[in-house]
Amino acid sequence: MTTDRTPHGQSDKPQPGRQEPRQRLLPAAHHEPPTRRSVLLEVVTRVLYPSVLVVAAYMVVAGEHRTGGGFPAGLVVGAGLSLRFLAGGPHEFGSAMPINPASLLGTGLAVMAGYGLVGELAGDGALSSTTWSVDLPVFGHLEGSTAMIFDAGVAILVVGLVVDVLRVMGPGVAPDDQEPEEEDQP
Amino acid sequence: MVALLALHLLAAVAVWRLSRHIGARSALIGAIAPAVTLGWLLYQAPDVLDGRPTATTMTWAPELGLSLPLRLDGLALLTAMVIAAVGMLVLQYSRHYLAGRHDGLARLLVVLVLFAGSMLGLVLADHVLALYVFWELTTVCSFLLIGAADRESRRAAMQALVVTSGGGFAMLLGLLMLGEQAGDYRISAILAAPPSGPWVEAALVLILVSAVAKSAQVPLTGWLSAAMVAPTPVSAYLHAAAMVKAGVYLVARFAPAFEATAAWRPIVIVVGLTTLIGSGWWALTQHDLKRLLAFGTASQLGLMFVLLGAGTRTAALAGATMLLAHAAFKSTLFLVVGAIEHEAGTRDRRDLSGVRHTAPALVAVAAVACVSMAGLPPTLGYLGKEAAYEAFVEPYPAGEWILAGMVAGSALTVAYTLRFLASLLVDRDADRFPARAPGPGFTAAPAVLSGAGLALGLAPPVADDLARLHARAYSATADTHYELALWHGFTPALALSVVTVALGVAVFMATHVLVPRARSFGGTVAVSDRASTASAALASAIRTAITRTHTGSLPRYTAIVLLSVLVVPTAAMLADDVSLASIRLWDRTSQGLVGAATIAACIAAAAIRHRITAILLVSAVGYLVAVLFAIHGAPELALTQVLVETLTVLVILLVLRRSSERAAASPPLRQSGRAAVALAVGAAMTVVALAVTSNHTPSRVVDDFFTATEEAGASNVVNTVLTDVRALDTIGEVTVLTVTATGVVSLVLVRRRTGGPPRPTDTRHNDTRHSGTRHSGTRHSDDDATSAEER
Repeated sequence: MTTDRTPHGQSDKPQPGRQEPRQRLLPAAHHEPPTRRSVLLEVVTRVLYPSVLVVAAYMVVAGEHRTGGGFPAGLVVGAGLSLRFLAGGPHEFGSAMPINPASLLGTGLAVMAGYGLVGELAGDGALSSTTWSVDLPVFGHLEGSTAMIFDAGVAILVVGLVVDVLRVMGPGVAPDDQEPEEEDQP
Repeated sequence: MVALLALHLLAAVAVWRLSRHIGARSALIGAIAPAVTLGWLLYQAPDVLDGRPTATTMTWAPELGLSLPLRLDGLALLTAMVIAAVGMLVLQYSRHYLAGRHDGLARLLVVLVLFAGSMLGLVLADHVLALYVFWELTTVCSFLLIGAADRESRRAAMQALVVTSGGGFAMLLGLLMLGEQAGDYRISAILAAPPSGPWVEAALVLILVSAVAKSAQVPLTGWLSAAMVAPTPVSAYLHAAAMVKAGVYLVARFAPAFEATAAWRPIVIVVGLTTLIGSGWWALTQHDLKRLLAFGTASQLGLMFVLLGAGTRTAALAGATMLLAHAAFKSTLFLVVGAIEHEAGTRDRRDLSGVRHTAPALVAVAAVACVSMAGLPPTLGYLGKEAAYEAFVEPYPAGEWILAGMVAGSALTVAYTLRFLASLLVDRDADRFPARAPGPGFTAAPAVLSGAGLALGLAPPVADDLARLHARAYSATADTHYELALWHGFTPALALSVVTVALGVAVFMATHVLVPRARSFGGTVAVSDRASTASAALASAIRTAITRTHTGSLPRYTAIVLLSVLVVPTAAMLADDVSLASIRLWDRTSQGLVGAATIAACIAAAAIRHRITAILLVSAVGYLVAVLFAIHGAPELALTQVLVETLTVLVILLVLRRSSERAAASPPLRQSGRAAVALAVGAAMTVVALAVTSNHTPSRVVDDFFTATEEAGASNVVNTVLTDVRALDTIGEVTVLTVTATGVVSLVLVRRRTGGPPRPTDTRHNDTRHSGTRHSGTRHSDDDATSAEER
């Protein structure tokens, strides 16, 4: 992984005689003023963020049997996203989650409702779950329940919730949302 | 029937997608849905006329006993035909009226089509809850259609919403009471075996209140005339033919079963007659032609209230005829006014001149409709009015008084009809205004409607068949076999009609004397509005109450919430005589240690002034509680608690990072007050928690949860409960979560855009653009401040 090695105060413009880094640590963190950036936080975020997503995915899958489930999974993703926000500012947050929170909320609800509808149409009754199990040579005994889909819906919705709140509480997150933030000071 | 409702939804989507490509022509696509509905209704009509209502039931959640029964009986067929026919014609008319308009075009047409669907659902619904849902859908559609343009229209929309949905709540309450008393929520079942008793009386009063609100009866007339700011197709459809008829429909629906109850007749007849006369008079004082028609509508609806609520066969026959006649003539006149306004840019009768020369066809169409409105032969309006008089010439308690009121109201109807017609016929000066005639497309829809009124008037047997669809709900006895006809011989009803017309013409001739008197009586031109706008007063009273209690002070809100929390459970415990037996301090030493740390963190958080530290301490309390959960063997709960705590802290930090580091000290008095509230609530909650845990009995459902988890092949009980056993609850909860989040976000965004929550007192002086610049200014200074802080 190539990183921009210049710490604090690096300017956006490529300086003469120096090659611009092929890849940035965080895609959009350079929009922040240099004084606000912390290389430590950016590195930690870069390293942690993918693992955070994996943990969230694990929680959805493992929810049937172990501690986890859709709600905590969504919160974990939300925590990861707020890490991106703190480390890289609103632009970075926007590039981490380019999807409109309203669509996330809607998708989450639609997945859950659709899951209920499929059960109804299949004749098992609304919101009923089915479990499949497979024995594979390398992975051993695998089990999957359709309730996972429901959990995924919850997770998507919770992510949408967190994104919604972060977007409003942090000023001008999306590039087109340049509305000034109002301070509540007496 | 379900397919028809779905078709409306589909048509609305089609209009939405197509309107940006083909503009107002998409209205014709939308007209398909009511047209198909009308076709289906005509196909079903012979069956229903023979007394075989069609019914289907869409099962929704049989476990909860929820279904959507739809039923097409006589009254439903009659009303649905009006809704579909007028809807189709109004959409055809909109294609011309809205041509070339882009702003909000899609919204207007989509909501119109959705409204047609909701209205259809309302009359077909055979379940009180479905009735309520469709009822409120029409209210919401009306709100969206009225408030599309400027500030005035938004205020009118808000007024309409407050009045009609307030009535809707009353209706929901009434319908639930009725359903509980009847033991069945299907309307047909309630009507077949009507319950009785004080609860039913109260329920009926509530239902009548909502009908009064929806049909703009006195004292809730004001919203209808304010709603005239809406585009004309909306006024013609919602506020003449369809939505305002919903209240009348409700009366007609319940009258056959409940007209004998004590409260029914007095309310229906007094309210109806008062509105008939009062609104008729107000109509006479209007210069704005649409408002003249709006008050006329309220007045006619008052007549229908009396007729459909009276509870005799002849009255029901007359009421059904009037319902048809009114839909035809009033929509016609609205559409004519809309066409003129489209050309002239005004609808003040004093501005018009020589319209009969510029648009002879349009004026002819209007004239035919006026004949019907005045109740003159050979129109449907005449048939209705004759039957109405006949209904109370027949023996009826206080029949002569009702007749007197109806003659007075109808005379006023004749007078304002003449006034309306005169404004189209008069040559005020040599110039013709408007100079151009509206296109032929504008004339088609009103011509069809007006022609329908005339044709039905000329064919009384057909009109009689239609009206009998509803009148059949009352058994015909030997002396109540009245049939609609143009000529019954020299009857008292005919004499009353002659008196009515004579009186009406006299009032019209005297209008120029009477109206200024009426105006000066109240002082201003707006007297009629103000007199009728008790509803606006109600709305403003509610607004004042809200602004008084909602001061925007967070500490105050919190205190109110906490004190209520303090009072209610404490009172419950005092009433319940709870023992605080067997208190164990802890099971394990670790619990005691974590508990002590929690208490320390609490005290520190309250004592520290530095904001960030205080927040971190509060979150430390949360984390420590999570540890307690974990020790107690609830990893799922602990995990969720930790994650929620983390996110909460992050969000609070995001918000707080720009405010000052230290919280300002409050005055000591206020501080000690808050401390007292906090301590009291804390102490009460401690006692409650102890009491609850010491009286703990194992829940009976827990075993079921474990069995269900095993059945689902899972081992995480909490998760199985959430995703399987109680999945419907989960969906409900996350839906609430979604709505809340959207609401909070909208409020924050509104605050940003307007510089504060909309306050009724100062909105008028608050220029949005101006405040916008002010805030971008603030933003710069904020940025400077923050960067200075961080440096």
